[in-house]
Amino acid sequence: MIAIDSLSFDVSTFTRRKRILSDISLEIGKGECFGLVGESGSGKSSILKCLAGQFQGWEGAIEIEGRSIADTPPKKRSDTLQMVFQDPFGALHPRHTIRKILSEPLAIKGVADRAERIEKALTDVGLDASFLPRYPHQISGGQRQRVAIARAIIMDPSILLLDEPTSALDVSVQAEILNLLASLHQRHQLTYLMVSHDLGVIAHLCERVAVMQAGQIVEIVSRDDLVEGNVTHPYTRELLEHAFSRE
Amino acid sequence: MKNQQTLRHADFPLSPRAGVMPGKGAAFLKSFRKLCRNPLSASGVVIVAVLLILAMAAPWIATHDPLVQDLSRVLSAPSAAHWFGTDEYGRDIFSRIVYGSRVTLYIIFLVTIIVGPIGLLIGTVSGYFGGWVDSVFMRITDIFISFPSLVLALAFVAALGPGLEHAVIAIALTSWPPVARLARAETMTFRKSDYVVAAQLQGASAARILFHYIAIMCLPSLIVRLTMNMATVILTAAALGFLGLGAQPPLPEWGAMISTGRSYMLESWWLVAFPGAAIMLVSLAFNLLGDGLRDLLDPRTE
Amino acid sequence: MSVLTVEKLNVTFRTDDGAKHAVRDVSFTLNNEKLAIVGESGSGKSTVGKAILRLNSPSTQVRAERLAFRDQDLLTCSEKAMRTIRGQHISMIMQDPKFSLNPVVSVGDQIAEALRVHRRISRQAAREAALDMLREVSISDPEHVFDQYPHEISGGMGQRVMIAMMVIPEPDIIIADEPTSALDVSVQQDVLDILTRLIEKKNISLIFISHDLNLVKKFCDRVLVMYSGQVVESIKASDLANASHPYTRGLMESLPSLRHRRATLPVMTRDPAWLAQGGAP
Repeated sequence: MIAIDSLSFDVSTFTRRKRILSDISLEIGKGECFGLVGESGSGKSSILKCLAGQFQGWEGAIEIEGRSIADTPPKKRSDTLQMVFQDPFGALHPRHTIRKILSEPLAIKGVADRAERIEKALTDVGLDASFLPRYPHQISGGQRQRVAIARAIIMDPSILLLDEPTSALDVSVQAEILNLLASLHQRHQLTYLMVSHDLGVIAHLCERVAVMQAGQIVEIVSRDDLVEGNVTHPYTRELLEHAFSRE
Repeated sequence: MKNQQTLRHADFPLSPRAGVMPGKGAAFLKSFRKLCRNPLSASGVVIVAVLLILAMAAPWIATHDPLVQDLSRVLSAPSAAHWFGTDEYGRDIFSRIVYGSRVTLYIIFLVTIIVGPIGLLIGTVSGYFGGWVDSVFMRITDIFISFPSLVLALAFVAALGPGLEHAVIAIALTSWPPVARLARAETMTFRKSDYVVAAQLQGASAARILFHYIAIMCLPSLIVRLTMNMATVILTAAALGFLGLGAQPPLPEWGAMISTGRSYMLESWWLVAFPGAAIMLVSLAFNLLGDGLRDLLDPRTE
Repeated sequence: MSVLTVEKLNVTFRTDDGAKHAVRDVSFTLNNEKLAIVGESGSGKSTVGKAILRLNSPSTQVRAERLAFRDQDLLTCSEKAMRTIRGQHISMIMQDPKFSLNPVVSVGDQIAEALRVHRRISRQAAREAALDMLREVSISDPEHVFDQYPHEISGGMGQRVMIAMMVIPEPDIIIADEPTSALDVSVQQDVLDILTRLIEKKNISLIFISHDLNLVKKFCDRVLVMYSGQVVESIKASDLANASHPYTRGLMESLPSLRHRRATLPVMTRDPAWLAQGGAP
């Protein structure tokens, strides 16, 4: 589904070049939940941005469904790949109603049966039509994140990029959103690539996890190995110990 | 177990935290009330409202025809018959000021209608695209901004010939650059935001993002800027009128009134004082209104 | 005798839509201990911390039957007396050191300044004390860090500097408002360890404001759980496993667990009766 081969990315400032990602290789199968975990600055979000086309000038190869994304136009890419952001406030336009937010993707693609699709997407994320005339500031953080997810799935993409989708939420709301993501994954056969700093959240949703440090993948482990403590790299071990000690 | 009743395993329940939705009209009324709570901006609102009423109801408010000359009553002092006195042709100054408000509003309206969209377009386009587009647009803006606006307006009017419409064009040409710069600065803060990225990921075109996502975010600060700008527009228009390059006689324009009244100023003070007071009051009112609107619309000043 | 007494604290914000009752009838006493105030966003936990130091904005109304530091009433004392309290007796550590450190003064000078405001000591002595303090918060190269500016140091380092700055006047109480939530997991633990070690050594009482029950239960003595402006449960940290209030249980159980993975996470249904009961006994 997603194949990343020796992806590297540099950012140059006036004084120096900084390597953000170095030699990243990943394969994510169809319908898989794949996690990227690491601390701030480890480059985990940068991988998502390369996939989403927000970063240009990377080296290496990225393929989605067998097609290199370098020669897929953005509009075409948007059919298969959508993204959910960390901050549910910033991800929704503050002056658009929920109706406008959800009808935008349909209007861009020129879809006809908008009303039905909006209603279906809303029901999918556990909201109802009474939310349509509201503005983002009139609903709670969890509901905002649901709307953002509805917008991402309304065009039936096959891949969702999840950038810390619950870290700005309260724990009880986080549980609701994680349940929702898990259930959507099953119902829509979605492929997830999720980024988080929280090993517990990642391990809850993802079958395989890549541990990142300083722009590199230090280890890719399965959930079972993670839970059993079957990890080899000392950094993974450290993260795991912190996660276990918090429970 | 007691706890099991309140902890349930559900697929996607809703937190009962939905807020109450106020209607659009109610929201407008609420902000209007908030605007009027500050005495300064409230006085701005009142003066601008009076100006609008004067302009709309000029024929009923004016006591005389502003153009009719009465040579038997030349330069008479303020009295019951002529509240603000008469000018060198015996025309009633009060009526001329009332009709002059139409000229003033006409200039303000036209300039704003021209400047707003031009500034918004140039600002958002160069802010959103950046790179060479930004460089080209901003250098052009710099050129316009580097001249004092009155001098530039004078040059334009001198080239186009005197007249009200030409004055409007000249003022508009000199007052779009600050608006464009503001729109550009605002755009640059929004263009990397998550909702713009989300729109890009949906395949939205640049034009769509500019119109539906960015322009709407620039509007509040732009409205504030344009309101403040109106004060400058009034002063520039009056200055052009004073120099004889704006509205042409016998049209009652406040700046032109001061200009002709200047020769009689020492013995007939009312010729200059009343139009001068009108210009001062109205430009002050627009400044106060702009300040009030900024407090209301711009969350950063809180 | 208790260091801090709070009885029936009420805080109301004035907003455009009328008054918002952010804190209702919150009562607790702080002895020489580590007290945690836990709740979700909007529960009023930070407002309590600010109200103790009278740091709320002027439009906020704070009422209480009693709000006292030892014998001194914090509600009625003068602003001047309050300033003395703020620096010398009660200090506060905020969430993000980036916003609470002065960006144009070197970190060492800021620590030294915190000391010199309250004690008449020479510049040289203050510098020595600040360097000692930097060593205390496990900064390995204090001379180097002393001359650095806040933007040159990492978040974890910044929070250590904040701790050094707050501990150096040796206050009686430290209020820490989410001091580790902006930090990476591995750094969080170090910062907490340093904070715990210092307050135990200097005999300081701690109010630790956090959204994270699991974090708090490990190192605090007592926990107040706040929900919608009220204290719904006050419990010893060691007893948390047997917490009785459904909200407290919900907060602990809705967290995804590595050891015991569940297909779906339990989700809270908020019961209006939680508020009607009027909080914890």
